[in-house]
Amino acid sequence: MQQAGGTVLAIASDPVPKCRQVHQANGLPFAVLSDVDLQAITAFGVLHQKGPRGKPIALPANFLIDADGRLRWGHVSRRVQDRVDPADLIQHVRHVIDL
Amino acid sequence: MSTTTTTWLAISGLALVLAGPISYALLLRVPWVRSTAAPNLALVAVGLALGLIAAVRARHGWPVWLAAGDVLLTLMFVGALFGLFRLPAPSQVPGEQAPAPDFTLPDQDGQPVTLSSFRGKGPVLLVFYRGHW
Repeated sequence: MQQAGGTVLAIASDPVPKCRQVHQANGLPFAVLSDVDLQAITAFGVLHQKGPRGKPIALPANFLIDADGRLRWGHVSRRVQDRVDPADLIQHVRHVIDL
Repeated sequence: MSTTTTTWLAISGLALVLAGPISYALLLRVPWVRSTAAPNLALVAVGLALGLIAAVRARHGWPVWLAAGDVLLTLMFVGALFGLFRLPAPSQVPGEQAPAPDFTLPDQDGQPVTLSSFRGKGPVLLVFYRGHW
């Protein structure tokens, strides 16, 4: 994705130091954004109001946005263990990049 | 001979019912297993069937209790997968082709990142995750 001129952004409701920890511990090649005010999480409709420990957090979700800023594909998990299949995700990314 | 078969059925039934959740925990890194739990549920289903056959053959005694244990374990596994770990439905996710809602958020170094600043440069993949704890 990033080699093809795209950008990956991870978003969670964690404060910046927690994001830095996640970024460093996993050696992530993309930015990890801190959404403590739930700005993006709410805008994309993926707020989980009562997460573990009663704190509002994000639902696991992926959104693909094209170069024109339009939403092209999205996936929101319905169960804690449910995640996008990476092979599926790559397919969608390829599709958007090809256009 | 018949008793041996019943014993065998009861024990292998329990072993399979236990193998379901254990194999699920071990295979969490395989995406389709993690999302569907299909092979693990299949193991549990076969195990439960064997246990129930053993209970029916024995009619009383420990195979019946073992089968009851199988049922309990199955309910716990299925309940955990589909009940306990269920997430609330998303609200008003923007539709496809809709303009993505813009935002500016600090990255791991505190530097602001604005979604619309990538417009015209290339696609963006947003990965919302539950956070770190």
